[in-house]
Amino acid sequence: MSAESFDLPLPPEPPPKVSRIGWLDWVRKNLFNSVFNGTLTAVLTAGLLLLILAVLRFVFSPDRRWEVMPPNAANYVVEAYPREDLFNMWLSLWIVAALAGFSTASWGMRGQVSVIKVVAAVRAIGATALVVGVLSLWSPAGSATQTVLVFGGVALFGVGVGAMRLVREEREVSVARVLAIVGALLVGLVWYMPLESGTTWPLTITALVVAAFHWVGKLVGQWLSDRLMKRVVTILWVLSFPVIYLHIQRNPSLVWEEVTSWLPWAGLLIAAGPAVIWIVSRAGREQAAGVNFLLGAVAIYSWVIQWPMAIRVLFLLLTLFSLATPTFAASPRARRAFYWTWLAGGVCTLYLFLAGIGSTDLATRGHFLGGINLTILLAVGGTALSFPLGVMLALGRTSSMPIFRILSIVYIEVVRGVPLITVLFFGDKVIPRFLPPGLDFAGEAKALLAITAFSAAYLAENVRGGLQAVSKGQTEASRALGMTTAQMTMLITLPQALRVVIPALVGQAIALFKDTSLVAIIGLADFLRVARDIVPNQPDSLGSILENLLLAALVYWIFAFSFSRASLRLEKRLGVGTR
Amino acid sequence: MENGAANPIIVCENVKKWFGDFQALRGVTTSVEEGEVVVVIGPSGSGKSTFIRCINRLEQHQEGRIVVAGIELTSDVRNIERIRSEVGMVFQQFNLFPHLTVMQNITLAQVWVRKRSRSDAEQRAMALLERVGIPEQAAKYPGQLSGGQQQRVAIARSLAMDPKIMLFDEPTSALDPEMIKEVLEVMQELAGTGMTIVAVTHEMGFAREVANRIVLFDEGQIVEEGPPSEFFANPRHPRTKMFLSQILSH
Repeated sequence: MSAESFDLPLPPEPPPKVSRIGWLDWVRKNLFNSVFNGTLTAVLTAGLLLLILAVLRFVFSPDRRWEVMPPNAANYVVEAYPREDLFNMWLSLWIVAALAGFSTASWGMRGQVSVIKVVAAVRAIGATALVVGVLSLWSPAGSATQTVLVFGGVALFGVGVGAMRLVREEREVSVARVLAIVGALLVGLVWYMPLESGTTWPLTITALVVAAFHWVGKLVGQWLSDRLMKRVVTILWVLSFPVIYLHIQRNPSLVWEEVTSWLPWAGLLIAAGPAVIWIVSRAGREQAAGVNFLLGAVAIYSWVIQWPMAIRVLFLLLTLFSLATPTFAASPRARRAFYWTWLAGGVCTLYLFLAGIGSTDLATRGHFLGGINLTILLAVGGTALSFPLGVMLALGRTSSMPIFRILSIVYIEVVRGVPLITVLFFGDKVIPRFLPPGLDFAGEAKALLAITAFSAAYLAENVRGGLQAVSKGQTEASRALGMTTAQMTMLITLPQALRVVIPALVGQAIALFKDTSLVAIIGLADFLRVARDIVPNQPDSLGSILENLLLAALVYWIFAFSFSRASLRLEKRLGVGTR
Repeated sequence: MENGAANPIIVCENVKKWFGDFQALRGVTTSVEEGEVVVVIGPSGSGKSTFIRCINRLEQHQEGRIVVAGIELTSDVRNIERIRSEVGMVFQQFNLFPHLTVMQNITLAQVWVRKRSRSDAEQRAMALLERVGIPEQAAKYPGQLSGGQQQRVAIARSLAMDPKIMLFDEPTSALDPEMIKEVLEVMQELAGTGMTIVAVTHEMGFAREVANRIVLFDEGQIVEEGPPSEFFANPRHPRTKMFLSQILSH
């Protein structure tokens, strides 16, 4: 069945030559090809120029007080978070940085980018800086920034043009290296900016952590298969949420005398777990029962004589694992997985005890999160939590079971018919009434719940559209192969449905990100409120509201824009082979 | 046309099926022996597709009895899943999973339904791709293959479950003429290995050469059935004569 080639009468011809035209020709052909178009081009260009000039005049006006921003960095980022506990915040940032660095080693960072593209980017940045700098000279007063813009622009543009002449042939450089250079430049910027004292080093450490863990990820990646590596990365990310939560909301302060009394024993117990599992899996029925009985007895006894809580819980866990061994560790492969499950579970338990002991709840001091942190928590948490909920609602709505279907439809239609502000108020005022008196969630948690509940309804409708786009033949084929409904949904229908709706889901995530600014209405201080309300009321930055609003707009835009670019990449990568 | 043999693997007794008011099957009674190749023909709308889709319960019959490999088709879900893993099906529109590679298409159900290890499943898949003649396409996605190649992957995907019976629902109707042959060759090879096959097809050449029995459907009933030599040479029913004259006249 190989393709044979026959001597057909006509040989293939080379493709037609493309005539390259200069930019002047291009302008003439596309912008000034008729009187009407020429006029339109001229008018619009003039309008655009005036707009840019107006913006620049605003930005570079001597009345603007941009210098009030760097000292307020902590307000923008964490707002009311107790400054003496700020280390928790940095630790959380480093955890995220470590995971990000680790992940980049396994996700598409092996890519190469053409040198010409990099040089062209440098040239474009230089040109933009130069143009902005020159245009800003029409503003009333000059400043150091303008000088930097003009000279920096000239320098970058010159370097770009020069390098473009040198780089003739196609050469590639790794994306990681380009990002490393950009990162180094950003760190340099951090040291140059007059930030609040005590932030330069932690920020530098963040960059170093990313680089170090990128390298660690690369090393680990040589050991593990791609699939395993991806699984590890996913598990680590999921685990990072409770860890970060613990560190931000509670302040773990260890009492070392207490900890050292049980920590070695707990470690020993965790290390001994695999041996117990091994013995039980090898032993006969009676011996295994004997081991289980012994473990159970010790576990109960430990409760009676009040050993440290961590030891008691670990013994109980080990008994459960030992009881489950015959079911879960039948084959050598399953046994290995079971060892790892035990070790991971043991370490997690240990961590919870370590972090939980003697910790103080920061939430009791009123609201504790604010600024960009709160915005990101609500956006990321809301998206992550509403995703499974929304998918479940979509499946419920398309389910053949009437109870699920009716409940889903009622939920979706009720929530979609109500504005987000109403849901936020509902969460803030009504949820406490369902809780026992005196108990209340933190405002942040209530806002997160409300946003999740709201977003899930919309997400469900998007996913339902995707589910309907999956052809009937797909379900028939999976049924004909003997799959259960659950297998069909998880392996065939949902993956295809989600792929179709990625653009809609990203659009919704961006909308959610911007909608988080509404939480100001129930008294939380998200980034927009900090910029609009709090920073302009600080004694050192009184009345700097216009500057702050512009900053807020810029920050929101940067986040939303990078999000939509990332989604484009995701679409391209997942779109492989689909129609 | 009962040949009274001992080992029927599919038994249908007076099977009836309605779509709303329209009666698609009006009492079909037939049986298929183990290793038999049965070709079902008939005009469109005659109920032949509905009939073979009833055999693995993609459609539900409302009256009568269907017994497949000793298991009666009732609404008991466990029975249905057991039968479906014994009965492979190939569709007119291939119905490959577009988000998975060829290899994943063939291994997915092996791992999840047959509970094989991934490496076993991959070995089996590779052997089957070899058998249908496209081992080099394993890493591609269905959208990158020609229709004929896709249909051969679909056949491999069904065979990977080690079915006792293969159902073909017009497997070549969506293909270009040049690709029909490669699919028919695979089916013919399969029949040679002793697989029980029930195929709805318009390929009279295939029916004549490979089938043990030909069944003509019209208006939801079996009009006539018999071995191909007899069926084509002296059809007895006037409806059969008319049908044959129409499809063989050009």
